[in-house]
Amino acid sequence: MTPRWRGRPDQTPDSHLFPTRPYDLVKEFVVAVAVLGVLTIGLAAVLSSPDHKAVSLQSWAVAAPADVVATATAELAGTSTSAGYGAPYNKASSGQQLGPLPLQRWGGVRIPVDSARDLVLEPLSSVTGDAGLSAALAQWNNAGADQRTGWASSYADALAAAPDGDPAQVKAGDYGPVPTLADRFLTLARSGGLEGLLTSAKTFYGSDETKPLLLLTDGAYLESQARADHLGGDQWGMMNETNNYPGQPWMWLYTFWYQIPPFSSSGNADALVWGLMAVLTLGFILIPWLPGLRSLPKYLGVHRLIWRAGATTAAR
Amino acid sequence: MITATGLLGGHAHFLHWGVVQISLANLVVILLMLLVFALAVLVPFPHTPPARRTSAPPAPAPTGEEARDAQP
Amino acid sequence: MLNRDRQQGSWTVGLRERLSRTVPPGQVLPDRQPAYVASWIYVFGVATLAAFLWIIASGTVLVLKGATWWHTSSIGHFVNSTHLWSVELFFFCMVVHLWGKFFMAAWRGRRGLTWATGAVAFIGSIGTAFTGYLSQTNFDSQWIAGQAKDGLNSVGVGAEFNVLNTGQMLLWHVMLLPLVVGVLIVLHVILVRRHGVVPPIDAELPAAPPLDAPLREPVAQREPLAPAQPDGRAGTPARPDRVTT
Repeated sequence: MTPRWRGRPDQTPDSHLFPTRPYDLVKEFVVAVAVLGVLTIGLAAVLSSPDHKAVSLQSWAVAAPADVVATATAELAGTSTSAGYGAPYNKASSGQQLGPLPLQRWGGVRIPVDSARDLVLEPLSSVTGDAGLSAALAQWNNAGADQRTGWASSYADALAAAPDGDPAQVKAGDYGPVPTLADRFLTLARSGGLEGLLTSAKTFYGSDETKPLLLLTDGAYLESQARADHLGGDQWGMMNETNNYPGQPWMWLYTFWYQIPPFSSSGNADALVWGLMAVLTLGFILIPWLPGLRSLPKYLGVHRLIWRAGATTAAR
Repeated sequence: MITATGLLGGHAHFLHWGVVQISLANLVVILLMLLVFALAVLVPFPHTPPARRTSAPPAPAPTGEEARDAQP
Repeated sequence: MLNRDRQQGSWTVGLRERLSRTVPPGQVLPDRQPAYVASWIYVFGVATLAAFLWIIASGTVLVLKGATWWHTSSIGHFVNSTHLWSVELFFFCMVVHLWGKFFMAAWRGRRGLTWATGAVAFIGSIGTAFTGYLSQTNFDSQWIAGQAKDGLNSVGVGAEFNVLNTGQMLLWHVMLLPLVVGVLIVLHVILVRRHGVVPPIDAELPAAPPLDAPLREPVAQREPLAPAQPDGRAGTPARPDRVTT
């Protein structure tokens, strides 16, 4: 049956009824492979590829110790990004919504992470031979939830007020064991053993970087490095690559929305952009069936350059 | 650890135009795509003229039903 | 085409006949193309396919030597570079191919599924490339994972597709997604061969088919009119109707 859409049948003739000419598809394919091979190898040889070294927790501790201390404190206070994230890590927040749909919450807490316990206290608990740390941990564990939050929040405020966030210049106050815990956490990070404690301490094999990445992204250092390379979300970062390399130009439409209102100032920006791009992507896939859009090429006229007179056929 | 080598290992250059920020590398790629597309539709493609009505491989002699179907 | 001696209910025969109807006879690898296929824009489909093969080839070398080899080996770094640039060329050619097909309205003549498979392959390729960025095991991977998790978590799928789990993302990148994209590409190419290259917009139907027009199976099945071959192969196909699409 001839396809129809509101009474207009598709009148495209059968391609097999047109005059033909010899065309060597296999030769075309082999030539294409050769040409693309030359281009690939040539570009690789001349332009190479970027390899911006990963930020280890040790290098983070060496480069930005104040940030490590502040991050550990925020984890203990429950004010870090991961601590207040919501699904899939915890229930601290309902997360983002797409209109009335709480999609993030519907995803459920499927990767449970207690930021204070999993990212700070458990790694510290594995340290032995440090009486001061053991006492601090005992004091923390024996305190009530409100007391812990009070200590950690006060210390976080004091760090923010100190010059350069330097723990050594924090004003005296009632911070409980938090300064000791944060300081020992920095020492642990500097030792280089923190990644292992967060990924494979109990399993030997570790390939899941969820915890160390949550910790790293809770800090400010990783983002500062990324923004220096124009990789930030409000810098069209999704399109970019480190150094002077081309990145992903085809992501232009996805990242565009983050640059303009209302997305640029919305707490639901990610969900909104995803929803919008899902609709646009569906439209892209369904172009052949969308009236108006499917007829657009005819009126744009570029096809007249492709099928110039002499190349089109009408056997007579 | 081996870091970026070659001509693109330096600091990136960015162009700003209102809300738009684009790296020079990405802009070059996009412009190249447009140029290649324009060339692809404009540059003549070498081709032989459409086939004349040459003799086709011999078709089997039509029998009964097939001969009837071949009627216009 | 039915074999007079077809075994009743034979799945083998059924599948063989279904497969033989997928592409018109002689059109899997034809040595002729419609005369209107005469523009450089037509080479970008096969160029995309060629780039895909180079991606697979360079990726296979990286698989052989492991995920972190390229950080410490000059040869490994070069192979990584070929993988990067073959991906750039892949997307470059695919986008030019996409533009060409759009301006040709190449979905005409019942070719909507050809367009759709290509579009889904494009989206799938973006996803595959994305898992590749996550598998670089360098700063890029860390930053992209940290950013991407927010997008995926916001719509509730971040637990199934945990971008912070390098082991999972590496396996998706090396096996699962290339397989999906590969299947889509195969379907796409089969559909191109099945329907032929789309005629020009507003092309006129030739008065009569050229003598070298390939035989096509009609939609309705017919009994072969010549006897089946002694070895059980089907007889000569009937002259098909001229089907307009």
